[in-house]
Amino acid sequence: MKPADLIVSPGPHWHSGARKTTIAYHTMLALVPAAVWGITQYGLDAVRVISLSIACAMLAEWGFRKLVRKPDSLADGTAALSGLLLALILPASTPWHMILIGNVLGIVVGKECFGGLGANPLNPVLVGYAALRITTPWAGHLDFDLALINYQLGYPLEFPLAVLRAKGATALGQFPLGQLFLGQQTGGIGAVGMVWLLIGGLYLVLRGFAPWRIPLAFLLGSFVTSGIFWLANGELHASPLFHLLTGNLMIGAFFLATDPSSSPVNRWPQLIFGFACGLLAILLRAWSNYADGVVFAILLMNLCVPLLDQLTVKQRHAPRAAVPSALNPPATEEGAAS
Amino acid sequence: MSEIPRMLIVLTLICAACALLLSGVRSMTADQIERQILVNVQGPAVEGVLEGSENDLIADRRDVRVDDRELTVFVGKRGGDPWAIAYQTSGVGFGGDVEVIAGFDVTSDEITGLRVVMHKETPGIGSKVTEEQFTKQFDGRAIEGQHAIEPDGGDIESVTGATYSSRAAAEGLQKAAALYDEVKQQVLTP
Amino acid sequence: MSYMRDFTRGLWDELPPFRMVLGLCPVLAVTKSAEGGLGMGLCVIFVLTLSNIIVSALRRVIPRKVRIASFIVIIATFVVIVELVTQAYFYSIYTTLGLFIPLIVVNCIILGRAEAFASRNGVFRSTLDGLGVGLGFTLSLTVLGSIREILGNGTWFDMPLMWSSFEPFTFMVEAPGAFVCLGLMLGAMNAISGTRAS
Repeated sequence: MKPADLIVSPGPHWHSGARKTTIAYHTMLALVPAAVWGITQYGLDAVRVISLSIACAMLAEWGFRKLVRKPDSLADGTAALSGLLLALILPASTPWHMILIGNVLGIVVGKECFGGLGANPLNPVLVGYAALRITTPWAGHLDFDLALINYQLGYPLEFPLAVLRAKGATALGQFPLGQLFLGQQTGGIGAVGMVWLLIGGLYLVLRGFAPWRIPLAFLLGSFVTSGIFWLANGELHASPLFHLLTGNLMIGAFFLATDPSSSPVNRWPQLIFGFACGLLAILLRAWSNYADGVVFAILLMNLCVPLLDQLTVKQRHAPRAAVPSALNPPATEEGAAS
Repeated sequence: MSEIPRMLIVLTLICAACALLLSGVRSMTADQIERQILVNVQGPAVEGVLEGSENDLIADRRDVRVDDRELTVFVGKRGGDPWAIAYQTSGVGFGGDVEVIAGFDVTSDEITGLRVVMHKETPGIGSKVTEEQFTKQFDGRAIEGQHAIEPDGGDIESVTGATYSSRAAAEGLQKAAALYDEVKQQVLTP
Repeated sequence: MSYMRDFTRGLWDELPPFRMVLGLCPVLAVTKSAEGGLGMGLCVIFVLTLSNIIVSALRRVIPRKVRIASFIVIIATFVVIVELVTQAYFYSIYTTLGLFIPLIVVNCIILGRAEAFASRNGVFRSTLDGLGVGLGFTLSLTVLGSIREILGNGTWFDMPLMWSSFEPFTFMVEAPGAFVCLGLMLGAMNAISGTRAS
């Protein structure tokens, strides 16, 4: 019998009856409450960062596709979504050159160079953010304590995770959990409104636009890991709920880790991926040089996705070598010629 | 059958020619390389610990024999008279030898300064012993007495997380201080 | 005509790092600054040209079975000479390049040219080939080093280029910046040569 001619292509794969465009627009819709919360806190500064970031992302994608003569893809909304997500994890005072470079690197190097939507092994937003983060002279612009020093809001303007890092868990009395939950804390523009992110995230999950396993496992992984740390040394390490309600964890679990093409497609891999992201995020918060390690945790796990996907690929129809996959692309004309 | 001897002969000849060439270049550049290390590595350190000298420190160096060891001693002069001497010693650190240059004031018997010139310590941790924050602690100490870091019961603050590297720098200074009397005597007697 | 070709081949068609994708280790490591790139390039021109000359002169003497060993000995000799000479007379370049001077020995370009060209062609053509490929390597490294130094440090050959409030994008002089920059340049070269071909 002739083997079935199946093509295993990179994600997005799960089916909710929606096209990728719809997913992108619904994700943006789900982010609106968190973004609006950020704007109510930081005013026009937040509007500036968000609009500039979306514009830069769309311009980068349009310009690059023009340059390499590919059909324009702005209408699928994913570039705008990337720009929005990057803006939401930046502080409201981020200077324009960082927004520009973060978006251009994220879109061009993180996405288009790999072949555009669906082919990127890493979340483009996180690629852009990581490049900004490891640029030492710019660290001050991303350090929330320094960046947001000129704002007057009705709650302590210290980044909770930086306080945890510097003074230990005993100094966290100034951050009641209720206040953190309502978003009365410093952080990225849209990353602090925990309740709004939760609402948006639940909307995505319940409508089936994002796989529920990843955020669930993510939150569970960070809860369990931080719980172990907390039980081991409650004076040094904060409680699990504090970890869930600070930094980029919530936006990471619902919006950054669920990027279709850089997350696994099957059940178990999704659970493992989410759990490992949560675990790494807490480990990085506890031991790395950065106060918040969510971004790097997700990036690291993005790199493991092809391996995780292999866990459940069934090898019934054809021998392994014959199955084209993301790691093993089918020979193109160019490949055959060289 | 003649192939194997030919291989041997050709390869041997090539190697011999290369070795000859290299030894020629080596002997031609040896002096210059020593000078470069003197000027670029030891020079700045010596100028640091013998600050205020009026002579050409590199040119006025001299070799003395102490305990069967050749030691290059840099002599700082003011108004034609030697006022301080500096020489290189080493202590064993975390990643290998930590080479230090210590300067001593021969009139007041005080330490004028300590500089780390070569080390293989961990960048960002042990390498901090090269920074002024650490080395300035040695300025102005009397040569008599122990120069130990705090964990060893002394009064020199070690660099956080770099006890081994700090100890190595202090050890270098202790060795230098132990040689001081003899070196001073040899340098000051013409 | 064909002599000209021997020389120019290394400047575009077989431009070492970008077209042949060879010798990437030093390309990524020493191009933090334009000076490092240029210094490394000059060292490689010296080693490559001389090793090409010697290998080509001895090509009928060296038995096939020990040719690689002989090439390596010859190359290593010139590398050590470069190391000693830079240490003696160009100390700042020596400290910039550091470990990567001895590593020229295992640079694939040099052994590659010895094996693929010098051991099959005459001395004059091998000299041209060595100069051409070496010059191409030098140009590529200097350009890459310039881009990275200007963006990542705001200077070019240690001359300040940017306005005073410029905050250098140090990502470019770190390791990931090297990969990103090299990748984008490779893509650009491929695009240009694709356009030229069609």
